[in-house]
Amino acid sequence: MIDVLAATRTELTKILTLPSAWIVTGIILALHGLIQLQASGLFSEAVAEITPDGVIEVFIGQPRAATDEILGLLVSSSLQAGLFLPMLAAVIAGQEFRWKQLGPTLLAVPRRGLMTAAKLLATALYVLALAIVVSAISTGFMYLAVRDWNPGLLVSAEAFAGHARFLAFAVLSSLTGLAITLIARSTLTGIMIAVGLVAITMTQLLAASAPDVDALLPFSAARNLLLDPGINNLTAGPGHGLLVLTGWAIATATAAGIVLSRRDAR
Amino acid sequence: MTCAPGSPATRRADDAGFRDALAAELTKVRTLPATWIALLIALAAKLALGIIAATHAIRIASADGAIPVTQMGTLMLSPVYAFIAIAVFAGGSEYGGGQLRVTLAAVPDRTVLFTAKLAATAAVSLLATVLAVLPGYLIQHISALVDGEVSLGAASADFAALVAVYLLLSLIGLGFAVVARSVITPLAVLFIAPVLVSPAFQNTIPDIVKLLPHEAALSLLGTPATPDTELTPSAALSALACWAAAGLFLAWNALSHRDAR
Repeated sequence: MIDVLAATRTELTKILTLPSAWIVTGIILALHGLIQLQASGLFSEAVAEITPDGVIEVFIGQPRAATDEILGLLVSSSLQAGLFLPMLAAVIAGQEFRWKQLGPTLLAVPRRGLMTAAKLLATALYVLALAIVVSAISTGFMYLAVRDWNPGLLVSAEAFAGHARFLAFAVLSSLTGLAITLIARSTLTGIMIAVGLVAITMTQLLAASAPDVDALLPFSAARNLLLDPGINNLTAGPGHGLLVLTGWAIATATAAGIVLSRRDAR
Repeated sequence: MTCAPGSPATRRADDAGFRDALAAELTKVRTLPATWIALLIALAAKLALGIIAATHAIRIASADGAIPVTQMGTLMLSPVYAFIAIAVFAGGSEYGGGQLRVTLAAVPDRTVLFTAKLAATAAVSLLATVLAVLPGYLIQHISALVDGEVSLGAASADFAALVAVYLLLSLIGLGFAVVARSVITPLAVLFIAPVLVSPAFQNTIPDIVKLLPHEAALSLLGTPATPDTELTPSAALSALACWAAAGLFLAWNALSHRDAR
């Protein structure tokens, strides 16, 4: 147990002293802030025009119950920033190979299973912290929009449940990104696979023709887990989404553990 | 024999220096596995998209009903993001293993080195564009050309725009790679921006988004991302050329003034 803690601390130090991890973190937070900033005006206007019976029209022609809509937007606004987290994980994982660090790392932590577990744990902790900041930013901007209407909504159990689903997605998808990069031994491949998977989901290439296949993709699973089925075309329920994300994380992490323990330390 | 600077003998020696540097750069590009992998991926992707577009075998479901793939501008342009890896690796692969110091020991004049690198990359990219794009383009448009629906002149202009897009995006990638001293950053940024970043901003600040490389390329090819981000072909070509010129200028500046690492 102490071994795992020590190895995880080492891996966390590596992440925290890596300039590219900080740069990518900064870019993610800056983009998230910018996107929230331009959306908050739209939300404020819509909230100001909520009807007495609690109907809001954020997107023209789509009137919805205000509490559902605000809670849905709170989570979906975090999702956009969350799509970048697997790429951050790829940058974190790739540095071992880019700077030929893996040899010295294994000299310090010769048990490869332990090393892989420490990597997964450290990245999960870092991404979890970042995802909490992302959720906090979403909540802050949403507070500006709803403060005159119902600010208590943002600290309701439903809001926290939404954040919890986002945090689960953030950690599981990042572990998948990390594991794919460890298998590929290349940051670039890790990033490209992540962007490719995002692109397939975002363009809805498979959603119409093969919804069952689409539901098995990690970012489609994220949509199924996080988005409101009332206004989005989803391919499965939230439970299915969580299961698929967990499956990707376990499968890729296991594969990464196996190849790291079998391969030459390069 | 000693000669004053600028005398014919020195100039001849300089000319030979550039020719040698150019030959060296061409060898580097030719012997990089990434060059061939990128070319094959781009060729295969363009070919596959050409076959899909020609046969109308796949239509993409959208909010407006099923649309043919030819109207999915980003999808049709996607092979370019494999293709630009040729130029990005030509510019950025010297930085990983300390190759740059060896290169500078052989070609100490950094402007000569940069000019040679630019000339070699541009020449290879131009040749590779034709190889990568022509088969897919012909398959997609051959029936329209044979039936006379499209004149040869219009098709040539269309094809020239495609080649310009591939070449200019490659040069942007080359400049970016030298500035970033990496192959990962330019490929990641150029690929992520159109997929994840600009869709978030294209409705609120279309006047800025339409000037970005990917959106300008889509306008030049006649499939703008949204009606708001459309540029005229000449404006789109200028925007892309400005990005390429700015990137190459910054790259030349960085290569001339930075430490050799």
